[in-house]
Amino acid sequence: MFDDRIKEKARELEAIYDVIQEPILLINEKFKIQRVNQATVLFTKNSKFSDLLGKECHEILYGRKEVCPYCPMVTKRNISSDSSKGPASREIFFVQNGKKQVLYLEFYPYPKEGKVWLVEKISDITDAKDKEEETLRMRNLASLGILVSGIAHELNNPLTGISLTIQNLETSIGNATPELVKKKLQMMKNDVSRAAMIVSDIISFAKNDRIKFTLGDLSETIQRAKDTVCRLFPHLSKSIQWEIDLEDDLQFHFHPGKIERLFLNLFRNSLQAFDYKSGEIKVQVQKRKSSILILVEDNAGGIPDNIIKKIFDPFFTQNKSNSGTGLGLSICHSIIKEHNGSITVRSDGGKTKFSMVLPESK
Amino acid sequence: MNKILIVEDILSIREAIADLLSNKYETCKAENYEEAIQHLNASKIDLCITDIRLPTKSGIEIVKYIQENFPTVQYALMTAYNINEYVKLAKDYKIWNIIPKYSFLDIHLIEVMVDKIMSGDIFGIEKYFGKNFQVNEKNLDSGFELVPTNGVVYKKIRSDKERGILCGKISKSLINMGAPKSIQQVLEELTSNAMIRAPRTPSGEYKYQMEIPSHDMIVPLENIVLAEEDYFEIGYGSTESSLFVVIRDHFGSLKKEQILHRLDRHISTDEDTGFPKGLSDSHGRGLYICREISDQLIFNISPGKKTETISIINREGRSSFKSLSIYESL
Repeated sequence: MFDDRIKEKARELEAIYDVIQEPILLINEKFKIQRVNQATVLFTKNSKFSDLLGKECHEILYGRKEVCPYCPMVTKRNISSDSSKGPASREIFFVQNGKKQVLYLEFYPYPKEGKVWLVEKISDITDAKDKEEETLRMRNLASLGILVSGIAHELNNPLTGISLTIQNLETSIGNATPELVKKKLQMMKNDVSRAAMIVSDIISFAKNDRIKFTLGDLSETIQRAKDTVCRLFPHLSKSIQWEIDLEDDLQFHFHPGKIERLFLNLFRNSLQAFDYKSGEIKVQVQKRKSSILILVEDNAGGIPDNIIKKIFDPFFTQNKSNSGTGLGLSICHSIIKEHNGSITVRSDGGKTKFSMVLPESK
Repeated sequence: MNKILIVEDILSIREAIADLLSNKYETCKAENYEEAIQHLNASKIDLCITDIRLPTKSGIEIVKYIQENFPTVQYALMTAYNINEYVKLAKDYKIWNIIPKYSFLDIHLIEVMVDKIMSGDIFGIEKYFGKNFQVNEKNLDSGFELVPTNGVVYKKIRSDKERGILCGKISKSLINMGAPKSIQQVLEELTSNAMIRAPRTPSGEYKYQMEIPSHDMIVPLENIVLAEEDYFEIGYGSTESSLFVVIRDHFGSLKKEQILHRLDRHISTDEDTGFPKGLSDSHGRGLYICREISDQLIFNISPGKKTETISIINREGRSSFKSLSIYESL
């Protein structure tokens, strides 16, 4: 009687598991398949449960002679019985009958007589992945459109300035004093550098020219970047305290133009974050054994957690005036990569700190 | 002397406009919202010209401040961005003039705008061109004559037939001189506004078209012959750099709010559908089409007295950034 009831319950559970379209299986600590649902049988192109039971999972499921390298039973990751961390999971590419698939594997630990067995669930996420990539592509295209039109319009400002100044000069050239002409020329020069800045943003993002390192002095480069930013943004930089703390001898090999742009972009971002408020930008450079550590910190309010992961993405911008190209930090990222270095960002207590490590290459 | 406040964060643009206007007006300059507000409070300003995108608060905020605190101060805006994106704001905040900032902006255009707003003398296409521009209003009743080379010639229209013949000849000549074929459409739209929509009975009903409310339609009468007092005029002409048509009636029934309302319905997209609201019906597409085709579309209105609509096409083929130009005088 009792036996019958157990069997009855087992059939009920079987019915539930067999309607699930995704393969679910139980594996023992020796990678032997213990239980499977109907979908697993279909997945492995077998016809009977008995073809699977007791076989090695990696062989039957994925045609591997060896244990899968990411198997949590090997890596021992996330299979503690602490289920609050969620299951170990993994996305894999899998080719079956010439068809490329993306599978999402989840592994749930099942403690059994002092050992840990695993329940594995396999989901085919190929379609979802395709869609995701498509959306990403579309989003990038859309942002490219926004980027291009944003740049085009932002270029209108300096161009209009130059154009109107020329028209001005044309009408007043007869009685203009040399001082006035000089003043107008200076204004046009500023407009030109503004336009050049917008253009060089795009170019430095688009082109990947072969990098040429020269022996240079990092402190000079940093000073130049600071001066340029102050000249380009005289008002934004008016109430900023600069604290530049550099070691004496900072001669090493780098690409001066690109590193200057790196600092330019970081400084500009800080200035824009201050948004005319007063504050402090700190730059520190320390020599390590075979590398150089650069810290750039501001107290402009910090970067919210939800966006800090995205700040290095191209086209990402939080610039209120919408004048940003959204390329600044992703340019920084690629410059650091070209120098085989690394860049990280931390933000808390209203401060944002970029840490960069550059190897001291020959 | 009228005092003009120029609000612009780019030094060269601010200075150029101030220099330009300083011959005729007193000028003062601000580079952001805060400075602008200081000037407004410090002295009597007659007109404020402001950029829309400014470092802290926008030019729209300045307009709001003016409307609340200095309702007699006039205002006009500038932008380096697409003015179409601001049509809705223009409608909401009663902004009638926006100057586009772009490489080929003729600085003279700013001067014309300021003069028109300050003097209230708004009519006449000759304001947009130089001293030698000829206005010919002598042969109003004779038929078509050649397109003047540096000037405008006006003709009176009294019937559908006259309109058809003259519009045909004008558009043919202008197209020969380099205007797009769609200039025909501009003429058709603007003249039908002047002929069919402008004339009304004292009780406000259309004289030359019928409303069919059941079908949400308005149907013009056929072969209209206008009453003596209902005539309108078409002007056309050219300069070295432009081709243009001018349509003027003596009703002044086009409302400036109505212009922005109609443009907005065809420019701004509806949040629910993603399409402009005006796409689904037959109302007011004409003005939008005229604005799309023209490089400049200028409205001059004296309510109850006169409406003048000017469509200018650039001959150099540079498609220009379109201004928003709506003027009203009492």
